[in-house]
Amino acid sequence: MAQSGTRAVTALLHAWTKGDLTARDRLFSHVYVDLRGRAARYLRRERPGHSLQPADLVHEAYLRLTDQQRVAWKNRSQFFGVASQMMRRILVDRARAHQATKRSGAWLNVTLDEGAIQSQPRSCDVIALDRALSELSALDPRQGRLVELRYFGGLSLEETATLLEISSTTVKREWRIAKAWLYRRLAMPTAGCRD
Amino acid sequence: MIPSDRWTQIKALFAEALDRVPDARPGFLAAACPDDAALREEVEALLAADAQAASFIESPATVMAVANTAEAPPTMPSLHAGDRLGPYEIVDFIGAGGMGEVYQARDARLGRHVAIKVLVDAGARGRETLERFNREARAASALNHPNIVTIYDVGRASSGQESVGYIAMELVEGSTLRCVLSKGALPAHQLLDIAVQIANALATAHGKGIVHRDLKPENIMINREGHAKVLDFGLARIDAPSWFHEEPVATARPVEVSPPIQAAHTVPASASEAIPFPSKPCMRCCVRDRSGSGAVAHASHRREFQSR
Repeated sequence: MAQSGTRAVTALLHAWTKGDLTARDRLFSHVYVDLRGRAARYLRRERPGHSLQPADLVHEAYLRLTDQQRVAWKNRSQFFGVASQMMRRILVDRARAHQATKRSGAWLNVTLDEGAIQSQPRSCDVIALDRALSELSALDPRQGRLVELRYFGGLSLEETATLLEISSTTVKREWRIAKAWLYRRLAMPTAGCRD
Repeated sequence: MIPSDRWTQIKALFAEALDRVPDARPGFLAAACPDDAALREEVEALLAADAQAASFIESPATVMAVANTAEAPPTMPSLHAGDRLGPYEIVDFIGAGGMGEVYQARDARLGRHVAIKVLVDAGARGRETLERFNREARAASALNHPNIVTIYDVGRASSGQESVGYIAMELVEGSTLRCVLSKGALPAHQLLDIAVQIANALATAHGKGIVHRDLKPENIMINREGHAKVLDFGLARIDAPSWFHEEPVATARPVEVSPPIQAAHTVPASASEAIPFPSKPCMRCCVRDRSGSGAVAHASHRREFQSR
């Protein structure tokens, strides 16, 4: 089962590289189901207060779902992109479900701005961030991917640079303005979209 | 939305301003965009946000595990509507218990709806859980009684990358007795009716040498017609005779266990002694007294119980 799954994911990555968009969609759903199931199982087993790091799940999914010897460099980048995007969806879906049930309890604790001062978007939720990030992606697709990889995929600066095939300096520069833009957007919801 | 060439300009000015010490930035921006106040303000606002953002989104998103208490929100189901598990298509998440998750599913071959209990990865308790799962399947499938939930199918199927065990059973549309009771005490005649149904179910099980051992209001479903269905034979003892020499299992809650089982050292002589068992959940139906002591039960209810 695991073997054939690995082959399937690797084949989907290859097909997608060749332009097969059905393969891309199938890959999305495959990775989504896998990550969601893992996250659920992890949370069920874990002691209260322990937190789940998306980066662990995303890296683990890469090792488990792909045949690394047959995955080309481009595929690796695609995979992490997909996994980060799916992690984002899982977290946002959960936050929505949580909001819908209107139950108290900090099931989802998204770390935003731990060191923030004043009445800034300290407790802003993952749903608002998701929305702001979609707007940022429309403005600057590469920045959108960068934030997705770093924040939802938990990838380091260097890993992100490698995957996006840009220098670390560029990642740092882009990250900084993306962060400022999102922060401003969340702190002042009407900022940046007056045009 | 900001046009992309405008955004490119903003980015360039932002990066250049950051290369300067904070005090030199206003002068730099004033010089860089002398006749575009809006552009300057935009960059200034981003610089101000940058100064405050510090650790904002620097740590990746995390999800916290919480205690599995009544206050905790429902656990995250492993499967979702539309997912497939062997011949079954998941329709909805019903709930999660100590040993698995229960979903409403549709059997594509027969077009009927079923309840499907899925054995999820239970970590360190995996083996114990698997045993319990198998025991439930064996015990309940050995029984054919209108007041015992019918088992349709037991098997394994792949879910995502893994193979999971499942038990497909009759879907009982209704509520658990616990839920019914939370809405208020039941009239005596309804209560007696439920008690008799449960007693009949248990008598049939005992006749086959199967003792439920975990009977509680959560494990009794009351369907829309008012019929009781006993669920969850996960702790059942099959081959009753050996059970009569054992300690009660710790998972059964003392408040629900009948006196002969509580007094484990004075073991009952036969399975029929475990039959007073339903009296505790039922007594609660009258008095809503969690201890089930019966002290506040209406005397006539108690007499009726005893006579039945």
